[in-house]
Amino acid sequence: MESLLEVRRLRTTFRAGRSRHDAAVQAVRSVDFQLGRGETVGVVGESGSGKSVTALSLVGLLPKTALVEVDKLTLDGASISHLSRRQLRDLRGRRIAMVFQDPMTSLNPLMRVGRQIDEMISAHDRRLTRRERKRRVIGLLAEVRIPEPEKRYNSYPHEFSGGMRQRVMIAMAMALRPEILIADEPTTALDVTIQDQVLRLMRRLQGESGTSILLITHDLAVVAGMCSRVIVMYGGLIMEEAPTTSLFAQPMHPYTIGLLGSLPALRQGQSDRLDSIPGAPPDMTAPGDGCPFAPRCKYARVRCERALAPYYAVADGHRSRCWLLDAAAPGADSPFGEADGELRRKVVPLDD
Amino acid sequence: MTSQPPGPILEVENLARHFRSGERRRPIRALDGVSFSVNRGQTFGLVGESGSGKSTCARTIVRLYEPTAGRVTLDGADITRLSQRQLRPLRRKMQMVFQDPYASLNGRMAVRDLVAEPLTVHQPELGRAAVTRRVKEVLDQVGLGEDHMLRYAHEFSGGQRQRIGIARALAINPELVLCDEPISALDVSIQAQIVNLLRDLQRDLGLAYLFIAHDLAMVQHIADHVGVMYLGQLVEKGPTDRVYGNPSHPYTKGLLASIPTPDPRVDLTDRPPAIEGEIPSPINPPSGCRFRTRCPYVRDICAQTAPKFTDLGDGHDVACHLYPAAAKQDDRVE
Repeated sequence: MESLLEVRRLRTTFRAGRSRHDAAVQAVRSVDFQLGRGETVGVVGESGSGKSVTALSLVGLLPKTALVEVDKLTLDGASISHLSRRQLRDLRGRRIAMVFQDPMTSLNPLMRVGRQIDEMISAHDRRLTRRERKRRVIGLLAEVRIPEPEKRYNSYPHEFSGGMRQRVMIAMAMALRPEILIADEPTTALDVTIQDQVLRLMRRLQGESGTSILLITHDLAVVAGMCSRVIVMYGGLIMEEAPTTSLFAQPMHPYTIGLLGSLPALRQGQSDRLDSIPGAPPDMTAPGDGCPFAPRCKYARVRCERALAPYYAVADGHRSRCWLLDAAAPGADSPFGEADGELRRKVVPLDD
Repeated sequence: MTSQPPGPILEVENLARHFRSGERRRPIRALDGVSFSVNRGQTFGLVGESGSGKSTCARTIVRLYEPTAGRVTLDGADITRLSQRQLRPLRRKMQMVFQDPYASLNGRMAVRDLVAEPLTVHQPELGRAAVTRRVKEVLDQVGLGEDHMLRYAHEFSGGQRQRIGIARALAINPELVLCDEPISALDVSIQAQIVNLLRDLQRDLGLAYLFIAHDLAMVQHIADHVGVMYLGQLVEKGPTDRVYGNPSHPYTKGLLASIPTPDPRVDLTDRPPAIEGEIPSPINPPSGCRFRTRCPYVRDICAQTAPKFTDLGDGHDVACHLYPAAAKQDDRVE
């Protein structure tokens, strides 16, 4: 697939205090991935895994306390890592659009909804007349199935339900047919019935415009239904990346295995215990040299606490950062089941 | 589960709670005639969309809200009309765990004092040493060490805070715990920890739970019986395997169909959309069946009369005009 967005060694740190001696929070430690044209890629992880900060770093939407460094960041082959704030603002909305979890924080509560969409269109396209823009906005509202769009043009955000507000956000994001839509937990605040409607809407608009979607979510079931590829993040790092079918069929990282085991719907017997992951997410001010998941990993060995594993290529497009995949790792008690020996023979370490 | 069904610890009959609405004179019918019971040592799950009245139901049961109508019976005693003072000794049997462990714990109190608070209210005769002993005991039950006692809630992660909230609820040995979305603010791996903990505590202490959640998969995992709420009323209730295995109300069917399947071979758009539209306002609920405005099977009668519960067998009840036969006694408020 043609690569539309390419990210190499993205690092984002936040200053925790005023003094330079204060510990910094290493929210994203080193992240690389690609997003193909028209592709939907899921980024999953728990709070603090760095998934949202990764997205915000890409579009320059972090506060000034954040230090973003990246070796390579290209959109359609051209570098976008050194754009000015103004160039970035132009890029956002037109080529890369975002939808957030809480639409109320993205909408101006004092401005009529129609005006807000209108303003966004005119900021990027000055050729349209006021009347053309209004017609366009009403068309967009109709497209995301807002009932009575002419009337709703003049409504304020608080007069909309949560689901309608999120549909308005999607209308705004898709208004300029962006090449990439970054959706950060777009349905987390919504009921399942409304989530179903919103995901379908995203899917339909994507089909019409060929937009690539980076879907950030904690919900593996949403990923299963929407994404062709998944990136699993933990402690500011990508732990595993795979085509969605492979990840669910043969997860190759203990963290992914733990996440999948925590899902009740995947399990058969009701009286079974869920395979919870013990412990809590890591402290990002002092990540240490080892694997960030090691303190919660029941397979962790001394090596895991001392050094971070490289990526191992498990199969085509499937990589995992875990010492258990190393040729020298003992096969006993493997989390990868009976296929362990055979799998590990195929595994190749990747250069960083 | 034992073969003989244990008796109910909690019985809720036609419970209603209306709120005054600001703009119009008409009340907000947040909870509008709900009946179910929770058996000793078992879990009753309450599911439904936001605005269905789940939380109002729990809060009305513990009398955080005064009921507008109906009756709540706790361990055989009608607590609906008791004064707060009369209620206090009975409250010991019934405790609550809230959704947000960040908001529900006082940040100025150390963990020891947070967990001790219900003890000092309900068992003032206990000396300080006895209270501390009990605090250590419940902290241990929820998987926290006594070294946590002098720390403050903000020093803990979300999952640990929810453990503190559970310890607080357990301190006075309740028989029933009302859990209002106890896991929805937590990360997936932590949710499983808390659900496992709740199940262990149920097994060890014989607790009954009223478990409110919008996560239908988790409710299926934890509940023995389940009730599905829509716009202030129950539309279907029964043993969990019956309701999930054979969902009969069109709303239950749609709700279950809208849960994404954690199976990448099933694409979201392979099936038709589950339920169209959104939940209407409880100020002016639709006449007849409240779900009719979104129901794919709607008929004329649905606008005219509210459906009564029909028993589909094994205590599986559904309130829908598609199931008119053998109408049970009316347990709805008109």
